[in-house]
Amino acid sequence: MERLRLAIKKDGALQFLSHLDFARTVRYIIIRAALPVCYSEGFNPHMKISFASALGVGVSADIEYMDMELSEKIPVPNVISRMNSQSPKGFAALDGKYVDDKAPKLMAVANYSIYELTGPINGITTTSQLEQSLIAFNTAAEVTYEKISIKDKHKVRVIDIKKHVIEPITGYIKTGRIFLHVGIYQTKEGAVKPSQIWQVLETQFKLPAYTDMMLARRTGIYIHENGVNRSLFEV
Amino acid sequence: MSRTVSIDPILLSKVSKPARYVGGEWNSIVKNHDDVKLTVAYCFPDVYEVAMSHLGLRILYSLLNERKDIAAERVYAPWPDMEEIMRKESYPLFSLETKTPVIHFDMVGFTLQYEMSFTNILNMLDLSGIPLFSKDRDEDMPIIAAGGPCAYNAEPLADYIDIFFLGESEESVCLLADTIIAWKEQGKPGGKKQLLKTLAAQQGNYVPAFYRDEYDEDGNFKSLIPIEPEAGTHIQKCVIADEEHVFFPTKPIVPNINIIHNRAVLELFRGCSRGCRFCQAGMLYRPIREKTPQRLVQLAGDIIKNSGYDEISLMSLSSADYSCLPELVDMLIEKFKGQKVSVSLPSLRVDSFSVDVAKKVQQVRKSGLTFAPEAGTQRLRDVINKGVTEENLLAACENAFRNGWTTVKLYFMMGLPTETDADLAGIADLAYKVLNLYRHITGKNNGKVTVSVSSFVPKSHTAFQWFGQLPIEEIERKQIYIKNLIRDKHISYHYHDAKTGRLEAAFARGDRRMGTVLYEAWKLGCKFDGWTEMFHYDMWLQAFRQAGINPDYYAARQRDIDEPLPWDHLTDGATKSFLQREWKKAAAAELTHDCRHLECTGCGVCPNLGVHIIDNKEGRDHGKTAFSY
Repeated sequence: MERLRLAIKKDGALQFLSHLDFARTVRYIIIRAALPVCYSEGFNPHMKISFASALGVGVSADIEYMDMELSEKIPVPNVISRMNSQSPKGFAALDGKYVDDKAPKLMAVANYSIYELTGPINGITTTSQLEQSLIAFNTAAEVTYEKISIKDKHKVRVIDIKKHVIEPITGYIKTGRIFLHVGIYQTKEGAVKPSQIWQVLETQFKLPAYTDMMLARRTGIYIHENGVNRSLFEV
Repeated sequence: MSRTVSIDPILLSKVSKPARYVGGEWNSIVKNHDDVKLTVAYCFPDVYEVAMSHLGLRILYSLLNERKDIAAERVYAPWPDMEEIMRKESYPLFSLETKTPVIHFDMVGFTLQYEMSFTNILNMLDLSGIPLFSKDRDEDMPIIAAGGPCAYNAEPLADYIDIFFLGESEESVCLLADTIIAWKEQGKPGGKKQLLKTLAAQQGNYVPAFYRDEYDEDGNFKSLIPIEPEAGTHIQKCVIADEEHVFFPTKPIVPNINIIHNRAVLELFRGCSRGCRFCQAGMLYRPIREKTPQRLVQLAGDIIKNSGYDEISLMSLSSADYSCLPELVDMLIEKFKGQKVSVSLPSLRVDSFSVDVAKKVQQVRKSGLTFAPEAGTQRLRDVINKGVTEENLLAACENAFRNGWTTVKLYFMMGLPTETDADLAGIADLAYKVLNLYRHITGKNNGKVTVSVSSFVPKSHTAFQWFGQLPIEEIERKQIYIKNLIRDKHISYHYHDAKTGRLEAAFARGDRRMGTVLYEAWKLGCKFDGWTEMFHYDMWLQAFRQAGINPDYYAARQRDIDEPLPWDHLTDGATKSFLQREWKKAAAAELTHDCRHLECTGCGVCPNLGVHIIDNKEGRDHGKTAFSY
């Protein structure tokens, strides 16, 4: 069994897929590419692939990683070209590397994501107003919001966003839109969603935006350790 | 080049399942409109997940796109949240492939699969900025066409549709395309009217504007009078004689989101001649025409390779009737060995043989089997000509239970002609017999029987087209009557809302005047009426009142066997006298056999349309003499 790690992208029409739909789309690509992918045993065998993260509906990714188990070691460029020739627009395999089959799962190590968030300006605003919002957020010691669990009897948890946003948020205004550069760190308790950060900035820090008008594009995903970001290929 | 619609992705990400509106699926075909001579928008008046599951439009889409000079694209009904954004931001309805506004296509074709989708047709035209009524559309507007089973009673849509196509279009659609292309290239002589005249003379084509509807002094439908020389008195369906070689798409569009039937589809044969008297499809798609197993295996291989699907469904009106089913299943299992491709059978016949086949295809997960005895007593099953006995059903269930199945689903109808409470009690009886059989065979008490009872809707072109639907109160009484007879927690009982059936019945046998009701209902906001949560019966009753029409006149009135019917001019090849004879035989609980294996029963389809039964085991037409009543 060979474990191949691929860097892939999700954008265009595919950015509107949920994680489950995206995963199914990737499975079809792999079947059409006729790769010797492994399946689990049992009554309901499933393809042995896994992703670094679960990207939500509307979230595009310049880069995402996936692992797949192959029964034979096919040269990486061959896998990439076979997959890309069978992909709908919006998916591409960008790079790949065979990794140790005992390497930890992608989900377990990928803990830092960088996003670009975009949304239309609400009303008239200036760059300095945006900067004031961001400075206020970046200098706050603690920024909390209440998370209501839908699964767990509407239990309320208080989340401190600053535990997850460990680098200052930067941003600018261009053609009527706000652009923010945000890194999100995943702790043992989990991560926060980009939409949550956008909402908190809007409601608590006067970000001149609309809460429900934002698109997230993930520009990078890393292993964050001792203040350094490492590529998921470096394992 | 027409401008295209570009929806702000930020807005798009706010609606439920935005992938419904972005296209980009594998095997979808995008062409530059400047490079083609004809553009066609195929519209399915329901949401993406339903629309994409429909085989008919997929066939026509692929078939037309095989031609370099044609671009065929898809348009589906936006869900209300998307509609709200489109109306607010003035986005017109657009195609999934090139995002071209519907109004810019040469032809816009709707498929008519069920009556409850009619309001969505009006809504889609309106969202496109196309006037709803044919008479209000000028020369710049696309030709609005429609086909599918509901086209056989086209009258409720007559004011909205320029041309209807009856029957199977794989061959006729090419003539249609050539005719429109030639007309365009000649500079559209005589305008759209001349084009429609040319088309009206071709088989299967019905141009409603070329007829005037007449009523007697009591307001009963009298006749449709042709008012143009090209308009024929009878429109006969198109039919594919050579099913073996007809085009079948091997590059199905693979949706990016999950749809209702997300799997590869193989069509085994067309038609069903069992002759159930309530069944419209059984009449519309005659005669039986099979593909050979060799052809099917070859198609299946291509479809799986081109799609990546891991399941292939064997589709037909009654797949278990395919003459070479066991051989085909073996060949497919062999073909896909080691490929993780499973074969599925959507419908089972009520007999032990079917279960043997199901055993082969459902090796691992025994999810449950579905049978449709349709009625609770032998007498009523004879009335509806469902040639199934209690012994057949129990034998099928016994086979299933002995082979590990624990769940059986039974489909019935209620509100059938001549039905009494004894027939309803028979439904409960059968459910108990099946459950007790499970207990007897397995010695366990974990069996489950699901009983699903729908209320009968009389349809045009069937032996029951004269039958008056029972009042809603009576259907509801019957529903409760059965409920009270089922008192075992291992039997679950489901029934359908009687009100939807009322509306279906009014449209299924309506005349042109029903078009006004449709318009009033659409104005009141009715849409997606097939969706329980979106169906507003009170709004529909208001629409009937505003149109001055009583729904019961169409739904509940028992029709005289000799009265003119609003669909008499639209024919599937079967004669009215055949149906009249079947209606009388029903009253006497007399059976009519399946002509597939025995002698001709005289429906008239084969001689009238010049086609033959093709059954791989019986041989082509097997030397029988076909006749017509």
